[in-house]
Amino acid sequence: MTGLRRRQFLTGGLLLPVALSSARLSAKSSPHVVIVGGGFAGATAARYLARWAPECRITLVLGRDRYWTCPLSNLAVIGERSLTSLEVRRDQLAEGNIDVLGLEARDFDPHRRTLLLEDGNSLTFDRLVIAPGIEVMPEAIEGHGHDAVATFPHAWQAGPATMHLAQRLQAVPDGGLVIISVPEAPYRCPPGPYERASLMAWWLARHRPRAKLIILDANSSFTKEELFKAHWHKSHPQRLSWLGRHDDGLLRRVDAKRGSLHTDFEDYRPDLACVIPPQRAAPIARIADLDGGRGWCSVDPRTFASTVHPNVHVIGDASIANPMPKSAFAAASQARICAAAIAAEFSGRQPPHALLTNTCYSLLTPAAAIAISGSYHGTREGIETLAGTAGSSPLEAPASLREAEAGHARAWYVSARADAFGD
Amino acid sequence: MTNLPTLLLLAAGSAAANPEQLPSRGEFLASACHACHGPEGRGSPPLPPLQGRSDLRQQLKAWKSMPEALGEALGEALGEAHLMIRFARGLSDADIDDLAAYYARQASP
Repeated sequence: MTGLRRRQFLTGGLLLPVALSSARLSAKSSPHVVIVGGGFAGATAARYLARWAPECRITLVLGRDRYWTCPLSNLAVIGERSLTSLEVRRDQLAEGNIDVLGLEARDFDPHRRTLLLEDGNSLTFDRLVIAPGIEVMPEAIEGHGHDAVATFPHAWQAGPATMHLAQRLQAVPDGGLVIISVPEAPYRCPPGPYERASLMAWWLARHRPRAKLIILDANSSFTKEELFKAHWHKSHPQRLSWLGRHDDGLLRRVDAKRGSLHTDFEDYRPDLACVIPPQRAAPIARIADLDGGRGWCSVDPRTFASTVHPNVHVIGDASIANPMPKSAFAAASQARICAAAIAAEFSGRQPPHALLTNTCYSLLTPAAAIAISGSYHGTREGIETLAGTAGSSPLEAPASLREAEAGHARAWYVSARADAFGD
Repeated sequence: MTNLPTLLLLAAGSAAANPEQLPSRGEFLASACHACHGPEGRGSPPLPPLQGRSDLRQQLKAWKSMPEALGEALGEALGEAHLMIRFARGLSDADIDDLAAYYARQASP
């Protein structure tokens, strides 16, 4: 596969001599930054780079797919938000020194500094920023595969799949069984499965009061666990069960024909099985050994430059940035560090002190939320959590605080979306 | 042909503490606030605007110096302040000065 890609790259390389000469030129004129991926990471990087390095040319390679935000998409699953409201129009990203390309990136060569596009053309870059998000791997589960995703819908990348999952939820009969299966970490949006479980349970309580929901979890602990469990205990004691890895929660196998799920000791025939597959960085982030064969890309957290190819930066879910979670908030924070570091380098300065931040809100109901946050420092050795900055909403809190935080979650969504996309 | 903006930027970059560097320390730190408080810190109701504020230094320092236990206890009363207390702890005194000075220089929304 890699060999084929390489050959395609070379045979598609009639443009290379031109591309190389423009690379030499670019050292003297305006540097060219190519960004692959237009989610929260890529779009934020483009907009802040445009502002902080006004002398550079920026090409944002978006691909051909329409884009819906994952944040708040669990509300669409329970019919409390429209899919339309989650779609981001990205044409307005093309302004000033930002060019936008609606083409897929196929390959890149970190040594020649070229990015190959699906139409056979190449772009030459001084810096490449890779922000493509995740690839889901249903085939990593025995019996599962891409053909069976409609049977076991995950909607872990928002869009029409979100509405398919919403329709499947509507079809669950009263007295029926819903299962959400959680893959082993790391995966996109660590609290996402538990938010989805909370919101689905809220919907079931109103529309299918005798239905049950089971979370089968490949992990033995999870983020905001005490807060989620306290809510489930109070609001859904008979409805929602969480089975951790130590409690036979690990999904071993599925049977797509029968629609069944199998753990070591149990066989389930749910009315709806939302099987969230294991994940890795999207394919473009695994070219040229950028992921070191590990599925996720190692970076220098002071700049988010790849530790494998220093003129390639990797931000967002595709990067290894723990203890930061794979969240939209973290992706945008990493994008700002990356943009500031590239801007500093182009003007011969040191990159700024890499202060990184994260907040993840999770909705317990459409009108109640909890939050977790942290501040981090990117160092040569890795990402350190700054003392006293990591924590979550108080465990004991009046309903008014949970309601206020649901308002703040929506305010964050409006802000983060406007800051990243101008939309 | 070397373009003028590049030359100007290189000239700016040679002065280590030049506030005209892109981004300045204050602007870079302030950009973290945009995630919740809106682009440029314009505010995103109910989260307040930050542009043009002269009280941010005092407010951030008060949060930063709040003992952890007190912060937790006040979390309920202060609502979202439990997040701001922790974010303030991630800032040095110099960070707070730069960030607050940056927002104080911006026009109110």
